[in-house]
Amino acid sequence: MILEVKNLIKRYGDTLAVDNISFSIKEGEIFGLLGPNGAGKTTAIDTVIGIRDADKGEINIFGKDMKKHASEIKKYIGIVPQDIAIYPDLTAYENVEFFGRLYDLKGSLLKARVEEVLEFTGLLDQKKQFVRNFSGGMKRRLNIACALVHRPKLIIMDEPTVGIDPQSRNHIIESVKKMRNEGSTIIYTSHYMEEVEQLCSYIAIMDHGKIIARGSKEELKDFVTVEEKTVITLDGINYTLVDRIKTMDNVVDCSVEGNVITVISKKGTNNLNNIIQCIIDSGNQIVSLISEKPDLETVFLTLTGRTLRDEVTTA
Amino acid sequence: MKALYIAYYTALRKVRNYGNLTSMLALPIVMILILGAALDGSFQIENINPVKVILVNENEDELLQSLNEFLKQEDIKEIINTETVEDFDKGMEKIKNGEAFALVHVKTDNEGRIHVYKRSGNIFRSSVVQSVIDSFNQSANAEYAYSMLGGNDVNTSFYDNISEESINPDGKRPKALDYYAMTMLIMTMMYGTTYGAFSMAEEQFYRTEIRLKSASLHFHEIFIGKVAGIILTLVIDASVIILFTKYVYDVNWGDNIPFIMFTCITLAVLATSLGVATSMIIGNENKAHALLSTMVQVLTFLGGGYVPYHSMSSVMKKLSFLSPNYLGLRIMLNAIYDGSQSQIRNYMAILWIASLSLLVISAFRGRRSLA
Ligand SMILES: Nc1ncnc2c1ncn2[C@@H]1O[C@H](COP(=O)(O)OP(=O)(O)O)[C@@H](O)[C@H]1O
Ligand SMILES: [Mg+2]
Repeated sequence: MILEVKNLIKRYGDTLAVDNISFSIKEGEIFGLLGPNGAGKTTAIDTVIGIRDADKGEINIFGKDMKKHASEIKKYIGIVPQDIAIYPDLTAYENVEFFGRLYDLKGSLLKARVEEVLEFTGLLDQKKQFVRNFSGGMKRRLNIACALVHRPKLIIMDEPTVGIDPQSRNHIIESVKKMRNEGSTIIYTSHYMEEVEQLCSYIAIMDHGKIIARGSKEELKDFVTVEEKTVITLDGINYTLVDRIKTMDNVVDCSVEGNVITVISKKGTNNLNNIIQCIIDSGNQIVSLISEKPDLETVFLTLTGRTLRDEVTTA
Repeated sequence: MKALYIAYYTALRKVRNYGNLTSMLALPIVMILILGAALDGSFQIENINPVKVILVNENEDELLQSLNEFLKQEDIKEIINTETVEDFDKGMEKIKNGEAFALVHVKTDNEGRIHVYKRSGNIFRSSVVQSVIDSFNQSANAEYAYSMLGGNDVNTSFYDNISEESINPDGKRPKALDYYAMTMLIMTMMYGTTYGAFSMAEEQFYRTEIRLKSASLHFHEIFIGKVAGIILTLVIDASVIILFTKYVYDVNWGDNIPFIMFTCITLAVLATSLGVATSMIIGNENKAHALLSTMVQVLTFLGGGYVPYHSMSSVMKKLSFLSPNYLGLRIMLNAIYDGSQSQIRNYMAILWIASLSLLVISAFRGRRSLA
């Protein structure tokens, strides 16, 4: 385990921001922390890496106790803070260079690393520009570059895509995928379930300071679904086809209305291929097909009775 | 070592900041010219074409009328050529037609009363206009402070000649320009208090505090780095002011410029630690900033920054000893005009003891609040 947190509690006065959470992260894992605004994600992260003091809890990182070895451990962590943390009166290059120096990088190694992360975040051409003239998306990317310059063993990204244009967002998502493929260990927090779903191998859902569910994407979805629904529109109707589908393995029900067939399969059976094959064999044309798999939004809704987004707009 | 990097990048950011450049360099340089020229008829400004400015003279407002008078002084006329119009729209028309560079409008209804509208593009003209207006504001504040402190005839003492100021028996004495170059340089160093007040807060403002805390840095490395960075910035500002006034205005800084620089360092250390300590004790950097900017004006005033010491009332003269500006000025006067060595030593010692005590207090307080 790269990181192990046990019974972590953090209060702000009367607010219990982190309510007795435990979790652990394996090397090479992208650990998603999903939850609405105010769930306690940022507080949890800040406490884990020693930016804030915990009220209670054990934190072990790289097999060492954070309480005793904080300054040793911190050298190998890279944080992308939720709020953009860069200096407007320095250039992109100087920003990364400064933070690199705080991790003891110097000389040609520093130079190479700064160029490397600017290239990685697509800012190499703008390296000499002042950050005060950057767009929101460029600042977000530089915010990431500053965290990577010392090649941390554990990367923490706290809502790295908030408030930017779709192009920059895609660039960031692609960068995280690249890091994942290179074997980085990442904690990724977000209130966008699409991002967490795309990127993370293991997900913890947080609400009101607690982790209310955890597991792989599939495990979490299985948790809420009973059945999978496929709605198929055909060019014409063919009752032998309907009967064939009804008798297929794992199909619970099949109903027809006009040219539309609705098939209900047992959960987690991935029956789609079989159904499509069956239609093709029957000589019918598929006009449209909708397969309703549950997403993490549904998971959150089932667990809390609220949607992630509702919470976001009212927060 | 990391403290050195924090210091270097802090100074780099400050020196490049446009707002700081105008308030810490352009303003004092223009103020020296205005105050110095106002008091010395022999001083001529060459090679500067006056900037054309329009003043909207629409009513009998007191501030407007005193600004009008201020702008009509002979010495101001050499750098700013003011034309008055009756209403705002007429003035704006002239700006649009390129007949003038800036329009000054005194509004009667709100707080920040003097509004300046400038044509874009010319940084030099723009900073001349801004500096003149700022210096009007500052002298208005200073006059106010002076009258509050029991000064009597503001006008005479303000534009009084300072030639009575004599330091050593040979009768060597500073010209008005030399005198105001010193007081404005010292004032700029004392404005370092406001840098000091924001030194730690700016890391919160830019959110970069989280990066400093997540790197394996000790509190004292951050603290020393920030304080040293601000001192470095002030020393750079001081060098520019000294060199500029020496070669462009021909100000007499004496034979021992390194010693004048050392005096600036001393004042920079004092100002920075005063700023840091005030901000930590008050616990809110914006309140500290407001308090300190007023305080710098009062201290400048008490230190003979605008009205020479000898023309102050006797109560004021006693109060002057409380002003670091006064001590700094005495040190410089004594150094440049071969005055008392013992006064130099004693005043230096007072300034350093005060700075170091303030630094120790803030280091301890800061460690507690930032931990
Ligand atoms: N510095 C703070 N002081 C007091 N309360 C805070 C502070 N930071 C966060 N909170 C509160 O703690 C809770 C968790 O906030 P946060 O960790 O920022 O959640 P998230 O990152 O999931 O949006 C919220 O109720 C928030 O209002
Ligand atoms: Mg957050």
